[in-house]
Amino acid sequence: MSDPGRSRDPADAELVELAVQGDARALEQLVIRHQGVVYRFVLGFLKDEDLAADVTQDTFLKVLDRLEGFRGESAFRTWLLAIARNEALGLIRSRGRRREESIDEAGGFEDGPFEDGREAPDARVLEADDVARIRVALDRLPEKQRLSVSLRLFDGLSFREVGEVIGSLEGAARVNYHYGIGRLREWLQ
Amino acid sequence: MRSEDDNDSVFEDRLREPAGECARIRDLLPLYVAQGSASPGFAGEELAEEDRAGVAEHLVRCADCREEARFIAELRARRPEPPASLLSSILEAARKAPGRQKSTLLPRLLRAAAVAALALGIGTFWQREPEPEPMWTVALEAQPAVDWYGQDWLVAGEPIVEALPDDMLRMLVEEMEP
Ligand SMILES: [Zn+2]
Repeated sequence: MSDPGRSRDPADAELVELAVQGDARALEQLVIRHQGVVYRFVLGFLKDEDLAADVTQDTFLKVLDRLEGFRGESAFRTWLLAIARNEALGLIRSRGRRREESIDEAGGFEDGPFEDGREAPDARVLEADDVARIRVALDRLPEKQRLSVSLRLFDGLSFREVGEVIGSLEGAARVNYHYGIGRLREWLQ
Repeated sequence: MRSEDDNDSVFEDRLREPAGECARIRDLLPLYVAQGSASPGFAGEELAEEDRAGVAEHLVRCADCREEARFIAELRARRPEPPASLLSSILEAARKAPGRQKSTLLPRLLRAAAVAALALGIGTFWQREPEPEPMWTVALEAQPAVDWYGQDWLVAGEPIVEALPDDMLRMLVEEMEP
């Protein structure tokens, strides 16, 4: 199986090396290549476009700061997404604290289909354009299903890598993907 | 019961889980539809030619998989995209980032200290201050034994010393002081 994220030329590891040496174009290429997957991944946690863009930027800054230490033991993208996950969850935690909200009381923030007080999609929302409908439906999925669908369908990660970045086994990532697609078909078709 | 994120209405979901040949095909459909769209920035897995042909052939005779292929192609065409300004915003912030030009001597010393500390097995002190239970531990499913994710200085159970946050490195070095 080819190593995802390294199938293109030049490979991530090569760009990382150049970027560490101060090559601005290599850096730009890395950001171009990976900003989408990072953005969609953190959007899966945060469900807010502005926050997702901020966290994507913070993730890249953090990564750049540590780039020298990247040794290529794991795929660059896997490393990047682990940091992105941390940034997103850190933000959720700090916001939760500030608002003195206890979103994790009973069953985690998956407990209700519309945590953070969001209303269920009403007819008005469902009549809105397709992009919005899809966003609403994605947000409605349990988190791991949402993340698995996003990483597999939108960004083509292998189920093994999906599992690594969402903290599941490969098989669980696969099942979460299929459950997620099944639900979306039910809701959107 | 709906306490677990992945397991509510498991029975229904089981019915939705495709079986047999269809299951194998549907695993591949995301790659199949991505290749058809040739979208920029797709750094995903490549679909081998024989798999591509296999999917195409299956779709001719399986209406349900065809329907799923059509559906996920539509989803994929409408995937969320970062704002157009994000790239330049990241690159500008990177140029301004104070850490980029800093001397590498101090970080290297800190790293060496951190490596030494880890080698000596001093690694638990950073849990002295009990953190509130992270919310994401409450909805766990079967997962690798090593609880690494959510700690970005660990990837797949391996410490990345360089990825330790600065305050952690400071603590680590302080810990090393007699
Ligand atoms: Zn089929």
